[in-house]
Amino acid sequence: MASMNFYSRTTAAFAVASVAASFAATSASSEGVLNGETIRILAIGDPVFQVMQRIHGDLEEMAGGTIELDVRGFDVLRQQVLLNAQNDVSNYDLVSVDLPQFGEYKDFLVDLAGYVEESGMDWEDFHAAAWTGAYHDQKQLGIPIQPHPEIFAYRVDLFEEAGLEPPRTTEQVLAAAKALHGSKDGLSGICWNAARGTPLGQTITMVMGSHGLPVIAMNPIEGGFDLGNVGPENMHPQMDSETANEMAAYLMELMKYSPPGILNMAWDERVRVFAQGGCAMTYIWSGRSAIYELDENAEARGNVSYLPHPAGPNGLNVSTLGGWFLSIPDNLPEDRRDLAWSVIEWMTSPEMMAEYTKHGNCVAPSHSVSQDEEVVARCPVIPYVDAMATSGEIAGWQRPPVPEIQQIFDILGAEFHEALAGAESPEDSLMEAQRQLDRVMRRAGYY
Amino acid sequence: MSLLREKRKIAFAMISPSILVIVAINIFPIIFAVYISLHLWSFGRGEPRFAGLLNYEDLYYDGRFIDAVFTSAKFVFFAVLVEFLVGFALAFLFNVKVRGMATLRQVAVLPIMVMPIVAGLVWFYMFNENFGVINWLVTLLGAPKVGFLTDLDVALFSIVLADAWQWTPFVMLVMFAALQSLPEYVYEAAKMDGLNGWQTFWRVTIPMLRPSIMIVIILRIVDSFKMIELVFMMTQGGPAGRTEVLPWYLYVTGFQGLDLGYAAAIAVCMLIIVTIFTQFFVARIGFGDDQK
Repeated sequence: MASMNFYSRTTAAFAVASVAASFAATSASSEGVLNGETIRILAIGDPVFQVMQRIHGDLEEMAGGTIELDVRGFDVLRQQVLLNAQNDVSNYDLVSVDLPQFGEYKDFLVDLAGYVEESGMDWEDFHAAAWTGAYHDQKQLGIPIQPHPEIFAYRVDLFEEAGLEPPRTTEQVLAAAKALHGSKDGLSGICWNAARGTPLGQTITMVMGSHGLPVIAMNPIEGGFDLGNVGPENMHPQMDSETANEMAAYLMELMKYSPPGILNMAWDERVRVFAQGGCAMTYIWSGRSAIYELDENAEARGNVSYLPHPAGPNGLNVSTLGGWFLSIPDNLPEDRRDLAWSVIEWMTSPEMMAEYTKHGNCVAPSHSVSQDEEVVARCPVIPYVDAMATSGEIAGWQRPPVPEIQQIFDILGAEFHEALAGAESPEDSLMEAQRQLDRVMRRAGYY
Repeated sequence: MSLLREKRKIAFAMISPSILVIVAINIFPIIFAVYISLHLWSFGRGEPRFAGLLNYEDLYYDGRFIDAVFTSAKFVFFAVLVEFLVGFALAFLFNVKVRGMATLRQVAVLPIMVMPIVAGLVWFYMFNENFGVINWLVTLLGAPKVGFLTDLDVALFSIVLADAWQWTPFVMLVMFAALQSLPEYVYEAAKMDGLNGWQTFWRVTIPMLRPSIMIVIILRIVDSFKMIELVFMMTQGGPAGRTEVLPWYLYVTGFQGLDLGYAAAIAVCMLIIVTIFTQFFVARIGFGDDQK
């Protein structure tokens, strides 16, 4: 997360670029979706928007207008989206929304269902988990642009060499990690997000999900939990459950087979260590596989296969969907909404998704794009994700879309770090996390 | 009498813009922070609800807050101690009239120019156990890797080291300037009185440097107490909260959790703590004068 801030605040540079590019764009205005107009997007410093930054000139030429791309870090983006919602008139035509944020933003985003129907958008081409991830209170609040799951990557060559089966359960993960840890110089069993705060907090929510339970008491439905209807009665934390203890025991075991510095390892660092051959397995946001798949010098390149999150004793092989959607703030004047929708339609089209993959964004939440041979050649992870999406191995409920989600991550990630670092027992850490989460929910007035 | 009143009116009219600016920039935010701290207010989730002293009561029972206060105190103590001792020694070294010393002095102050967030990133990578140059050197020497940022007993001192790297030159600069301003005749008088070098240092130099020492310590205490960039870039408060200083906890509560009421209560407590410490040292700046 820390690194996200380094991608932020590029507005000034793009303002300058926009001025320069606007002349060229205007000349091509009759063709593109913008038709000479300007679109203002509040975006996140994640791969798809980084690609848009890189090909900004070309993008404007394609769109036939000016694209003001205001790219922010995660925390600042959230604050700006909330501040923007309080304005009488939105400063942005489009905002990017992370899947768990829909619970917090649902009261001030436009329902896009009418636009989808009217435009004939082929919504069934999107992965079902991605499409329904933005469906709350019978409203379609966003269109997927870069949703991707956190999946499990392992080194096929090392597994074959050691005669190991691909790990589909946490027990198999631990067995493989034990077998491979230290089997080669500098090789550890597994990389994962164990850094304090949000990284570890997210790990806990997702691993607890693969053990069969969300961190708050959501309503069970067939094959998972009800993402679209979370009420005050669902806000009770579940860190005092038997499942939480199983999750804790698994993470404590993982520590034995983790690389040096694991307590400070997060996000791209785990992928880089995996890419360089420092780990035999890693949990990974699928889009980040580009770090080694597009790097000719990476030891892991071409040697990696993918699975959904390995299941705990009573859990499911289900990976957590996260990532980004494009939404329209409801304080955007009516006369700009059609333009905003046209841009969403264009930016999330299969053609554009394929285009983004050319520039390092290995995410395609669309079945048709996932079958494009050129796309697959560039990003081997994409068909794996598509297969998981088709077989229902991707879901979003592990990170509940509630306004307190960031506090949940922080508390879990801070308290359980005590256990991982050996400063406290896992039981005490879970108990303290439960107490603090309970306090947060009470302060928020849920019960 | 009326002339005096007239003059006062003019004087007041002339300073009133400054007063307004001070009220707007300094006083109002403090009052507003106190006001918010008396409310339950999560940004983006409705209007603030008055809660009396509930946030402060919660803070009293919040182990993480108490730990953060002690971690901050520990960090400030060690950072200021190292920076002061090393900076003070360097100031004396640079005060020696030797060829090349001026150039060395100019080079020594370069870390001050670096943005703290960049310094944090550089130290993060240098200390990193997988990619870091320091651990690479450690392993070249045949020693096992050191968890500079992950060892419970080491992490805070790694941040102290990074802070000291950046701010020791500042202490050196202030002390060097103070040393340069000491009058030569005092030392001549000390010599005539038969004081040796050590006695001159303790009885002449240190008392005369006292105001500068106090000022530099105050500035470093206040600045170290506010330090967040290094924690943000290097550890995010880990391992196990060992580097979770108060500003980081405030940031996490206010800017990630968006619990503005609680964050304001933390900010008010921080303000009180730093004011008490500052006043303690401010009161001692003029101590020498009072004795005259």
